[in-house]
Amino acid sequence: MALLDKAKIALELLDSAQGHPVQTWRFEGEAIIRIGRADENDVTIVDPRVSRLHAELELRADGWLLISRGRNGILVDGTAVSEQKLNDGRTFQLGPNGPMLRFCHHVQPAHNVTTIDGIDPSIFDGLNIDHRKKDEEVQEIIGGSLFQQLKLRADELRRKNQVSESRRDAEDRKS
Amino acid sequence: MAKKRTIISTHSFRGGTGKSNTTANLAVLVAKAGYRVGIIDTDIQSPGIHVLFNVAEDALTHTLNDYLWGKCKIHEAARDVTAAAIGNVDDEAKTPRLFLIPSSMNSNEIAKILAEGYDVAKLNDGFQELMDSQQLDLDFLFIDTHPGVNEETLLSIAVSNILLLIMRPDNQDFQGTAVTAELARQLEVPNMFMIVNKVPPGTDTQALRLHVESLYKAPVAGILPLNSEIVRVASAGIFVNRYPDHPFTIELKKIAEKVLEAGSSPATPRS
Repeated sequence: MALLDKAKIALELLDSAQGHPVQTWRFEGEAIIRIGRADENDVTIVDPRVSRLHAELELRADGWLLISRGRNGILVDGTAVSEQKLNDGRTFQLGPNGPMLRFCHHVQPAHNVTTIDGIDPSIFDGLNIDHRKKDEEVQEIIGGSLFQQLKLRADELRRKNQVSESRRDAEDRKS
Repeated sequence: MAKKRTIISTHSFRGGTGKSNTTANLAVLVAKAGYRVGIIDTDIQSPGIHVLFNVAEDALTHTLNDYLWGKCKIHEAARDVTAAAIGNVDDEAKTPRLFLIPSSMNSNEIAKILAEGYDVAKLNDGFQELMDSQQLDLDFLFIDTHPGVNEETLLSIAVSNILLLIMRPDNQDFQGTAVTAELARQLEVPNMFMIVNKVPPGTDTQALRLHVESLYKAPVAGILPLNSEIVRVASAGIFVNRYPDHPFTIELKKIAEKVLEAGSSPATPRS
């Protein structure tokens, strides 16, 4: 991915109950993004659990790095981290029980999109995936013995299909 | 070399996405391209696709239910709906042909399935027999699946060469479809496409397409507009026939082309 594309990102503040984005900040061409309670940050979150400067996102050669700057730290999947490489869809929490944010590559920044009749594409903000919830549900399904049996059965059926196809090939050659 | 036979599953996380209608119209477009196509309605609990082909309930001699109870062969449940679906085709013509394997509309039959369930393995034997059937000699088989994630749906997805995931621009649809898409990846479905249906007028479809592709990491086969006419035609035939130049039909044709394209490539690499 070109560096330019990496520079187009969005941060979503997630609703803690549902995991839906309640606020989105979009950035383009920035190399450092500051997150904290103070007004001068790029992302200001007014919450007592958030430090004045809580975290920074830095664009490195290999992608975005999240660096903890505050007293309460950053949690990724429930574990405190001082630094974390960010991939698309990665969620992180500002302090224990603090607000949850999601890092996303966004395809086109809102202000650059030409819409047919000027509709703001941020209307798609509600059309998102709560990756954590999805992963939990998927793990629950694929972890069960039923899914493993199903995979085996699917493999068997695919093999049968191939056998049928070869048989039809052979019959066609005969006729 | 025998001709390539392709199984396409159409699935949606919830009901009401227009799945059956999209499936029926796609199947017609693919058949019209000169193929022999089957549609099997595995939405046994709430069947409905037969309505689109004007198949009267009392005219259903055999259904998928009869096959599942061991009362008939699966090809005996297949009805040639070419005349209703495509129109004037010579009876002797090999292509285009469209066959429908309907589920029973009889409420007792539906109640029986709900109460007793059925052998999912038998359903999959049915797919196999359909693809092998010399009488039907299908090029494409569309499986209209039951919404949601359950055993028979997953197995239908697993045996497909192509999976079409249909959703509306709606948060619940987006979330649920993400689960199905991930399961399909685990099941190694060779081709997966997203279809967004019922998209309101004025939506920037290109931006929506990019948004969906970045969310699901899968290609979007089509963005179908919210279509008020389809509601009116719904129970009286096939939309693409009646409105050949409608934006809905034009977009659906692009999806049909993707199906034809993906169908012509081998599903699994041959050694």
